[in-house]
Amino acid sequence: MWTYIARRAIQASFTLLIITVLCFILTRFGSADPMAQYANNPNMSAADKEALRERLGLNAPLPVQYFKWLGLALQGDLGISFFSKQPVGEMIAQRLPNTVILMFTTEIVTVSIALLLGIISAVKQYSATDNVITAFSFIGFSMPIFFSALGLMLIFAVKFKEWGLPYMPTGADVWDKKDPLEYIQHMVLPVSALVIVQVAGYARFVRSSLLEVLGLDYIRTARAKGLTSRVVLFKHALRNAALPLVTIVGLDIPFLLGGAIVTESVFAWPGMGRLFWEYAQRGDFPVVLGVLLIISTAVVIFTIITDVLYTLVDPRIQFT
Amino acid sequence: MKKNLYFLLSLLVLASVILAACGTPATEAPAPATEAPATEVPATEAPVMGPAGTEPIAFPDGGKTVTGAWSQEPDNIVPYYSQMSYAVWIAQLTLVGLGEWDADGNFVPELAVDVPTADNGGVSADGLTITWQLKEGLYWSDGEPLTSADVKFTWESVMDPANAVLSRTGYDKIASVETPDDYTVVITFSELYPAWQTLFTQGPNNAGSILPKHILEGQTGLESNAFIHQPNVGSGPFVITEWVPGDYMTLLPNPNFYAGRAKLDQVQIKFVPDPETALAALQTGDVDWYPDFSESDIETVGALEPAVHLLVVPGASFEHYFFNMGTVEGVDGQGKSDVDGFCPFKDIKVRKAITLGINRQAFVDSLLAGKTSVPATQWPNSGWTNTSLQPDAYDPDGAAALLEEAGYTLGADGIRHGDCNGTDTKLSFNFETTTKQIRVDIALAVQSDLAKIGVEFKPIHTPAGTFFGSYADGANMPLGKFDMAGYTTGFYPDPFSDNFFCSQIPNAENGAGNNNYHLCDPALDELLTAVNASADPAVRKTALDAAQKYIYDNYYVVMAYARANVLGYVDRIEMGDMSDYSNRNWNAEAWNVK
Amino acid sequence: MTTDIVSLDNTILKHEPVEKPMTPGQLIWRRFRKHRMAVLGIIGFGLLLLFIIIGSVLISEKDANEVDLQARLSPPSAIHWMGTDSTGRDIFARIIHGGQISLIVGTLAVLLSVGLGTTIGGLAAYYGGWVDSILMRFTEAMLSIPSLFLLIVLGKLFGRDVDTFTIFGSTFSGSVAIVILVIGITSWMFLARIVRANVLSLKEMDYISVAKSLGSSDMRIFFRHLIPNTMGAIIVSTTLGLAGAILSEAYVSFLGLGVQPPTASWGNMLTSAQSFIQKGSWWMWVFPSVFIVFTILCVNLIGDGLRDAFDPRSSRHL
Repeated sequence: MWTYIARRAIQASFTLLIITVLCFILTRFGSADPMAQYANNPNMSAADKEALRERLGLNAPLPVQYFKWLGLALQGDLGISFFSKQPVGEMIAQRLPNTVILMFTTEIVTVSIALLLGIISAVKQYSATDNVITAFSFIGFSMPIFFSALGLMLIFAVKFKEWGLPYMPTGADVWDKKDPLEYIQHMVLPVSALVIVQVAGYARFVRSSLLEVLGLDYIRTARAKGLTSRVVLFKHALRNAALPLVTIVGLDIPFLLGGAIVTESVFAWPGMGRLFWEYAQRGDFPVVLGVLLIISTAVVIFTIITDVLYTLVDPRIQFT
Repeated sequence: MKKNLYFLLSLLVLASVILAACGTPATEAPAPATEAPATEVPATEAPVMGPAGTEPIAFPDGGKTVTGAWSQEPDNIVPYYSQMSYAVWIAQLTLVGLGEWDADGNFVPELAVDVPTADNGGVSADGLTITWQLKEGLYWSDGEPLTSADVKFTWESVMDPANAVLSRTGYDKIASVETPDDYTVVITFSELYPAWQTLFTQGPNNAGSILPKHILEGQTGLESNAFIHQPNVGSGPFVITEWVPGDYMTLLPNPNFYAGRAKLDQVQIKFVPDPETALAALQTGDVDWYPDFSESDIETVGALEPAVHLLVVPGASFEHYFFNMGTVEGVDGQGKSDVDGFCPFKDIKVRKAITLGINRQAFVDSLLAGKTSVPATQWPNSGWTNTSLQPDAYDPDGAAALLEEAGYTLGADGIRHGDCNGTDTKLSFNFETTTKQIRVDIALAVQSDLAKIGVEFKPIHTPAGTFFGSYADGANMPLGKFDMAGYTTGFYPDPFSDNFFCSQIPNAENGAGNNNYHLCDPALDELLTAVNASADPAVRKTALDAAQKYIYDNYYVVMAYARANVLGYVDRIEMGDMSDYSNRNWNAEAWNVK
Repeated sequence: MTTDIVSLDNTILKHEPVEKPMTPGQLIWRRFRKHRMAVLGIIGFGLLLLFIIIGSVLISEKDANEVDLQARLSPPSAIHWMGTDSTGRDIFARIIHGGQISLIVGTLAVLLSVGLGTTIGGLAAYYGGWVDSILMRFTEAMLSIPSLFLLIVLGKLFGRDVDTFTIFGSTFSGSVAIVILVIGITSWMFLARIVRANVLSLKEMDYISVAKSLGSSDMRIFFRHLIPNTMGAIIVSTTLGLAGAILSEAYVSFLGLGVQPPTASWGNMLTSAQSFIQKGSWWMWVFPSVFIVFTILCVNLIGDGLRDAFDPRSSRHL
């Protein structure tokens, strides 16, 4: 197993190197111009602007800029934001916990609900309940995150308030981010928006893998031994059916992080997605590259962990 | 269903509690930035009257507090190193200059006893020497005296190549700053600089704070100095005592402010993600004022009266649409553009027809709630305005007639075409601007107006970060790869601008040039040069009137509307006069609660 | 066997020997027909196409772009069935014409991504060795950057002025082409992996060695034998990719990039949806959103049916 992990790690570092090149090239050719915000400054002469370009290091040849950035990044220095002039590492560190808390809560809630719905669906296969769950799964799966987010906001924040009911905060208010109660209140809507979109796929997955397991020989054996269906379901079937969920959760990390941009921007959640969106518009290369690097590294690492975990839990698969 | 929802909610709550308990809180408040020094009295030789205090005045319960919501957070506080309006606004609260502009557009003293004029001897006969007289007994908030040496230091630090200031414009025209005594500053310019009022002073677009020599002396690389990012000593009505990035900033009264202690006991500024949040927070009373609504919010904010008051002041900046007048040949070898502009625009009749064919008053009335106006020139709503000029009224018939006259006749597709420099050219062109909602909406209105006179106007909306891109980055505007474009700018408080100069057309030799019009008209160059030929305001005004009339007569620019300063504040607070002529927080010391 | 999900899919999608005396096509069709949800999806999608086509005939694009400042922000009424937007344009008309754009963007983007994915995956598997390593590391790298981040980083491209162009008699702003391109080049990675896995397993089969020994060229084997035999996988992921592409367009447009006005797309009708929530004009974003959800739902149902039809054993992972 350790050789497997080592091999994956070497592969991954190669992938990460490609990612840095890719990110750098895409950012430099595709992202907004950092000088744009100075274009209209009446106090800046042409010479001032030229001096600033030079200072921001935009005049150096691209490969030089890349290696300079990479060299510092390898030492853990992501540079200074063009715009806020704060160290990028610090800026990300400030926002990262918010994103991580949002994502973990979402995953935990999603998985719990998905297990529940999946089990009901599978046990009562082809019943009305199953059909309703399946139908909702498809709708949820087809829903863009902004739709669930805006919909929840319209109903639970705007309309509830209009109707004089207790309403949820939307992030479009001023709140104390250090107060745990307010923090949780502000998490309810974004987490729900993400859960609605995600739970569908998970529930379907649980349902089909459970059905598959329930049809296998050892379950029949267990039943034949006279074990109650509840014991069979929870002790034998569910354990095996839920395992593949691990991969799905792991592979959904990029999707979740992408969804974070939209969720965080709709609900004004002070996370990394929002940071990225705000600074990408300004062409703040150090921040854009920093966030991309952190996110893709996280994805690469999660992929390896997922694969290892999956291999560990599924005896049929061996490390190769 | 409802039950399920509650179940879901409680599940969420449970999960979050656990996580919140395990995880570190997202924003750990740093220790208060200004831990007041333990010294009792500063060890300086005692002047006539000592400082009123050595640290910001803190009220245990906050006292009279006003809370503002800002949708952008300043990158730093010292405007020589920042170009954000938000930084300028904070500077007005914390680090003042020698003079400032008041809400009526008058130039008034701050740290100085009076503003220099030719009459009081402050401006020499040749206009090259400016003498400022500081008030006596000025102190920094830490109790150190504020003297002419600080002014001299400020100039030296701006000019020091080791400090990465954003702009040295104007300061680089100063030959020397002399300090004959603690209260006198004599500034000598190497050449005539009529805009001297914008140096070391604070207005809507300029912010010359005086920097404390006793803190910054001997240090270089000030752009990354802690004081620049968060000054804990100041000369304004307030001092920043706490700043949690991304969250809020707290300011307390400066005991040594030149005009006496501010009326408020505390100013809090909360950083909110967007104007929608600010609006919601104003409604709930979470915040007391928001300084930066856009014109498209006027209706929404206006609907909140009487709990929330709306203040809309049309200012000296403006949204304008302009024609790309670029030519590859250039005029006398000067003013060469990389790309030729849209050929029909070289004909004044076409430019005039387009101006007449847009119903500007209609979109001002509907989309901007009628709260601003269509200006006639690029110097609207200020003492510099040429009041003899009126904006052209909407006249589609006149516009159509002009186009006929210019030889453009209606084609089968409803779009006019005609001969331009030997090529049959359709009056169909692109208009480029940013993706801002109000710009999208107005461009649509213009499109449908112009369609009625047989002109096809095709808006292209580009994110601001790309639209305002630089020549080196291959952006369309500096490269001249556009037909028409639109954005906001303004020439105030000093009216001089080199934006129309032939020499400022961006091209391979001068990529950072300011002339996005790509217009090279030697006659206009001459008229505008005359504006800067004298330091006497009256002479300058006459010259500027002529330049305004020239641009107006030649229809080089379609003035869309005067940008308005849209401010919302709750009934509880009194903010005094505010306008676009002054820095928004120019009179913060007088703010109060009812 | 490797352990990632795509290779798991590969085993799922592998063709089983046909036992019944039916052509594979007939068999697939029969299985597809039995899939009630998929048939519903087809019907729904058909209705949607009909709505857009008939609508475009009855309501011209000019009507959809007609500005009426007097009637701005009016709620749904007898005149404006779905209300009007911030410049008084009729939302119903814009839904029809926006639908055209969204579907065209989705279809072309997905074709581009299928082309890229098939080529890259196929080449990697067929040539193996260092070509495979490099292509697959590249694929992995692209996959590791969440696609919405990629789309945002490429934001400047959306602003490049590509001249307006005309398809089917209507004029599109140049940004449409850019959106297609950008979505296409950021969404081919999953398919590349699936195709690679499929081709790898097919490569070992006898008929390929026979073809090789008969002197067929690489190109011929690749395009005549390997690609057609992975068609099932390609069709399924094209269908599901269409849903993804329509969604991507909506996401980037929601964030203000994407198809630029005045050309309508379902996505860019949502651009300032957020501020309209506070201002109460719900009709401006609810209608386009509902159409997006409906379209994606139908396409997903069809895709699900196709997956089952191509491989009756798989019913996992939606």
